[in-house]
Amino acid sequence: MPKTVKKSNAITASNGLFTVNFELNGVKTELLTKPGETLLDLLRRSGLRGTKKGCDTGDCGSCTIILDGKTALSCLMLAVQANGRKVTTIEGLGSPAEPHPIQTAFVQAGAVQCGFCIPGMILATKALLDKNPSPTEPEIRHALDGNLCRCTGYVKQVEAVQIAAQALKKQPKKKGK
Amino acid sequence: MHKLDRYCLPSTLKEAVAELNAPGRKAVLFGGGTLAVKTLPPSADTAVDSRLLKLNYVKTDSKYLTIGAGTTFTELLEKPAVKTWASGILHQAAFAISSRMVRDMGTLGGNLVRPYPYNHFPCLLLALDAQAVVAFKGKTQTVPLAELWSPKLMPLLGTKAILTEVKIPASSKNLSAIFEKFSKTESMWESYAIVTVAMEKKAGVCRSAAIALGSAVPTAMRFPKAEALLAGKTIDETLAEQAAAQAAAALPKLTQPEKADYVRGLVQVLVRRAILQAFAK
Ligand SMILES: Cc1cc2nc3c(=O)[nH]c(=O)nc-3n(C[C@H](O)[C@H](O)[C@H](O)COP(=O)(O)OP(=O)(O)OC[C@H]3O[C@@H](n4cnc5c(N)ncnc54)[C@H](O)[C@@H]3O)c2cc1C
Ligand code: FES
Ligand code: FES
Repeated sequence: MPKTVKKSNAITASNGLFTVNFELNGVKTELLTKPGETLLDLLRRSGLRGTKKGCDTGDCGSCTIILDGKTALSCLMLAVQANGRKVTTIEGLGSPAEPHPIQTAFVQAGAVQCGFCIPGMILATKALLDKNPSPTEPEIRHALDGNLCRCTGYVKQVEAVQIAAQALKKQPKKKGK
Repeated sequence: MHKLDRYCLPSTLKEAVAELNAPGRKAVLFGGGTLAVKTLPPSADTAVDSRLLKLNYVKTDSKYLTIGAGTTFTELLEKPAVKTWASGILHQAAFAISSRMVRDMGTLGGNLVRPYPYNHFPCLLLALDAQAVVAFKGKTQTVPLAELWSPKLMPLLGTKAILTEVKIPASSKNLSAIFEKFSKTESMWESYAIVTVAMEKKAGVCRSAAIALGSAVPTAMRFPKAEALLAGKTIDETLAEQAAAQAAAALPKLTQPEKADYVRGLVQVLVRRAILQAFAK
């Protein structure tokens, strides 16, 4: 079994694999990754397929995650860079049985068509509302400008963020949600 | 096939430079990783992540506005000093970075060290006479910004040497400045031209002006002859047109040579307009 060798703040690959220890959706996680593997590929290989691979070049936003409270493109990150950090993917937000208010708002506003861009949009929305609970429309558009949608005209998604902002204000705060 | 077998997170500059210069190893420095991940040479065996170096800061004193190379665009947008400096053009340029995730991840250092023609900050900081501070083998050296892109320094940056900060002279704080990016859509990284004009004015006269261009040319540049035409003058349409024509005539090889006629005309229009707008501010 490959082993992590920690030496002065470094991880060394063993048998051609790095061991990454990080907090994934609130759970301490250890995964093996190949050198050069992106976090996007590692997540998807590990069964978290809500994080989508649209372009793999940083242009579409479908691979958006939340990394230590900020948005990040998991296609532009080596998996090993997640070591020691907190990663939230769409699977960490809610479930079909118990959706997060942002997910509910996207459905309510009719902001979801094929759904491919939606995990990224929802995580970008979460990062926005965590910091700015009452964004203006230009602030919403600026915060979602890295998330491309081929189906909608963005209008419904802006509405969804506004609905989510209202809903979240009414909710008692839950840790990590 | 990648050879990467070591990922390190140094917490001091000394440690980071030592990692980059470790004998027999081939290391690459990571800022936000937005370019480094996709351009990692297959021969690189060490990734040196600069995240813990605390190079994300903005400071002001009587001489400079100093910006740490590890400052992300989102962090720049949050700094009050950046909002107003030189008519707010640093803020405007960070705001215009095409995607929110790139603003959250990408750093000023990465934007300058691998100066893709379309990057906003090489052109902007050239107009503000910025200096770059580079750490290399136990020494730090302050050089004019354009030296970062010299054949001597550029290959060392991110492989042996680290850009630690950028110093912008305090004299640029109240300049009347314009930053304009001309692209097909607002949210595109790629553009036809980026123009920055920064002007010192007194009593209705332009005392000095800096004109810088990015995107249209492979490496951001200034136009000293066009700038000289404006110094000490009251600017009107005719003078602005003369300076813009001078700039267009001084253009070297273009980024898109197949569109040369269009780009030359565009640069002339943008420069003229920026000069007039900066003077009218
Ligand atoms: C989808 C997309 C859209 C973009 N849109 C825009 C845009 O609209 N406008 C714009 O201006 N730019 C744009 N960019 C470019 C972006 O600004 C740069 O990718 C970013 O600034 C690079 O910073 P980084 O920290 O991610 O660098 P990294 O990717 O970490 O590093 C890039 C290179 O620089 C070296 N390096 C990084 N920091 C240092 C340092 N301190 N000292 C020495 N070497 C260093 C690395 O070794 C590497 O070779 C875009 C990029 C992407 C991917
Ligand atoms: S897959 Fe990452 S931005 Fe498109
Ligand atoms: S809903 Fe289909 S891409 Fe956005």
